[in-house]
Amino acid sequence: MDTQLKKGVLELCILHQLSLKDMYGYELMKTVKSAFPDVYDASIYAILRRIHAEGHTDVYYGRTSGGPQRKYYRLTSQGYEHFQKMMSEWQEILLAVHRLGIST
Amino acid sequence: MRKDEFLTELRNGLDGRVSPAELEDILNDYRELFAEGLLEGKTEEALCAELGSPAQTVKLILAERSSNGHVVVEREEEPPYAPLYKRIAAALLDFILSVLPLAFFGNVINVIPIMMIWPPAPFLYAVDPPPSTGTVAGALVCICYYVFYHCLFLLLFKGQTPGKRWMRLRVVSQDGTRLSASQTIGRELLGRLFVNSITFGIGYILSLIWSLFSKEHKTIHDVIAGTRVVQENRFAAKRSTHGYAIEKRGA
Repeated sequence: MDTQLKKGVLELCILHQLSLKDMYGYELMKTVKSAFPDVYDASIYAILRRIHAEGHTDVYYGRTSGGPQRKYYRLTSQGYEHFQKMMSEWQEILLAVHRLGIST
Repeated sequence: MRKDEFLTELRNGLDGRVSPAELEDILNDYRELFAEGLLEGKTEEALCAELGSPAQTVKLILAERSSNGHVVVEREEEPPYAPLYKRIAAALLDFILSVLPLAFFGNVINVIPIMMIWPPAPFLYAVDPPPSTGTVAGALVCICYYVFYHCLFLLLFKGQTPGKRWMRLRVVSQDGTRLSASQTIGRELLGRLFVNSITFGIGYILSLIWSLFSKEHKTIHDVIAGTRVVQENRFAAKRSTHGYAIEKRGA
């Protein structure tokens, strides 16, 4: 789970989730872990913090009735552009490997 | 392990290696994780088991930062490299302090100047010829002090020796994070003592020439341990601005 490739993929997945709806850290972590069960929580939080530090998200606080205060992440327009760029790179890679005969 | 233990160990593991504002951010993420997990009916023990050890968590967090190198807040202004004259002054003071106890032993005091070039010199004196067991034992204790002087203070003062404190210098990792214990040992015992012992002090001369010509004033022991020496005062000012940032964000 330490490879650059997987980190990149995780980042893409996190951005994708956030492009669908605003999410709080724990929710995002659980969603990503449902697809990548062997990823460490620490890695997901760390990637999320970096994405945020780079200005791809901003945060706001929400509170559910009786629940804890939650920090929601929302994609900024810069973040959305970054996601689009990563997505097209990802699709290019997929096309290229398919062309070479690697298929799922 | 309980939540509080996990958070305390996480804080201790990261303290000094990330900015205070970032540390607070990270701890808040884990506080949230515990709060949400407990809400789902998990126990603190189960959550800790799922997370893995705090030490491993620290490793993952630091690995994510350095491999991507994107943690903007800390990279913006690099602390300036220490000027050479300050490093030499600090080294001289450290040398004097590290051999000071030896001055109480008449039979070893005259090797002190030789130690500047060849560190293990007193070992020969202390062992052969032995004047009395007491003196030899005392001298050996002093030599151990000399050998561990740098390690001791670098660990204790988080990258500073008394000489470096005086000159406001600090040894940090190449990437600007706090010096680790293994780097300290590698720098001082392997890079400084061992190299200079086997080369009869040529290492010091090479270090001086190297540091004269490299922009970062690197010595051989810096290269071996992957460290650099920075000027402390501005670095300290930067840390306090981070402190201010947390308060503002928390408010």
